[in-house]
Amino acid sequence: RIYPLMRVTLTTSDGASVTVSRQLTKHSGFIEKAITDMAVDDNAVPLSAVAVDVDDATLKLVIEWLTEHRDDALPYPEKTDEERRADDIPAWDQAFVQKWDTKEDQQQTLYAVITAADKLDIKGLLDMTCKTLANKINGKTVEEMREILQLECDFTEEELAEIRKENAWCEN
Amino acid sequence: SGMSQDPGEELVEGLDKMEEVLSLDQFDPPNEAGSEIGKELRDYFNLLGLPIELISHSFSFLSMEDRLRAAGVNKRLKGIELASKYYVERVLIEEAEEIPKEIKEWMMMMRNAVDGDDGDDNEEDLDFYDVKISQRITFHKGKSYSSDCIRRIAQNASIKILEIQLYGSEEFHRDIFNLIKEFDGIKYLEVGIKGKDKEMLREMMVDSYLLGLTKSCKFLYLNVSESVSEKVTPDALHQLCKDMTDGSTNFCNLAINSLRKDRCIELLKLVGIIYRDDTFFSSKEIEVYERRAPDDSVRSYSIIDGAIEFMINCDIFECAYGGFIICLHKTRDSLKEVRNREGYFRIDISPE
Repeated sequence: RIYPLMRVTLTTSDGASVTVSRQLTKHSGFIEKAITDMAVDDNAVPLSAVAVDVDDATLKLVIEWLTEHRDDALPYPEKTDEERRADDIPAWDQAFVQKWDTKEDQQQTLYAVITAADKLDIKGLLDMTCKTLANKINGKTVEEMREILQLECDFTEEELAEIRKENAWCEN
Repeated sequence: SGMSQDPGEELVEGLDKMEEVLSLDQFDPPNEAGSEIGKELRDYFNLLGLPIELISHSFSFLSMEDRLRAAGVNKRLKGIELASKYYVERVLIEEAEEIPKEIKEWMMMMRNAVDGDDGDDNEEDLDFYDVKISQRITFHKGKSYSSDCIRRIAQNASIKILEIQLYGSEEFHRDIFNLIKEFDGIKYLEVGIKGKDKEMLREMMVDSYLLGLTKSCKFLYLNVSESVSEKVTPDALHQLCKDMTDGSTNFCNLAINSLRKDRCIELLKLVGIIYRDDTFFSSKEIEVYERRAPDDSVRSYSIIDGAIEFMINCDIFECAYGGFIICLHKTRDSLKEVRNREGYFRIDISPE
């Protein structure tokens, strides 16, 4: 039903624009809805323009991911009553993340891509990036988690004692 | 075509990849130069800047252990954790010891009994011992614990298989057994207590406790001693049958490893089936199937009363106790399987 030659021009929050195939944008719930709302005839109007609240550097990454995943099944298979795990990220995605999720970057790009995936409603990308975040604290002690997430402990001594007792079985 | 002349050139199915995307190089430059990802976040960035739903979504991929630990990081994460629901494949709450072989065998029997219980094809995959334990909560004797973690799990988790194996009787165990009722949406629940002192569970096993357990799950296996199962009354079982038949509960299978035979007979009487001198009497349209061990020492009966099946398995001459199952069959196919169960033969019943 989607005409592969149809193009969508995306305008970023910082004024850049890029034109991509509908083959890619169909994975974005946000862009699909924007196009549907325009009520254009897919055949008659081959080019639609959609403004996205994402900066252009982040959008480039999103498009790179969408290009790899353009043939993913739609609708995205959402897991509700099924065990979720973070260790099933495909190899391509892992390599993709490793390119920019570096120590120097301090998770800023990850933050930006998670936010963009959420705004653009790209479920596969959102799951993958959230799993990447989860993997950072997987199996870590509470102290390590604080360090990784750069968070201060704001519990009182009493509350901490209570938590320690509660979590006695899972403190590693 | 020109492309196929180069064997190293990989064609993307249908359209060429670059044509499809147009090219990333065609990105028009932004209005301001020097755009950087997340530049506005640089000074104060941390992951808690993400909306709660996204943090919660990320944590949903973690194990229960990781999540409960994450709740100890700071107040905000604790708040997020308290509000997040999660699904766990199989939880074992135990005081460290392996599950004995004979209990595993029992489990396989139970599994055969419940196959196809609600007509959902996926149900057949409920292979208890093939599902790996994704969460093992182990308490060590003599150490001090808080049952609050179990309460937290009860409130937040949807669980496929929950097993509870505790020993002896302590106040902490009592808390845990009480908390089981607060769980919601467990598919399979196994409750057991071991060790010499079963007094606590015996004391707790009143009708309302048993019925409470059946509200929290679909399948309940009471892996308890005779002194505990003795407290299970025919009235409670009868109530359960009524609830299962009229659809006021999602519960569909109760299995008790050892129930007094006279209790089974009393229950049957309450539903209008008399068992006397090896013969079943009823004015209802029931079907009775029997299986005898080769030496006739053990007999099993399967009684179909509408959509409900009662299964009684006992050494009828020697033992006053036997395995007992009440099962709701929601589909015709499921009932058909009962009728064709291997080794069982239909026996005549007498009108009252």
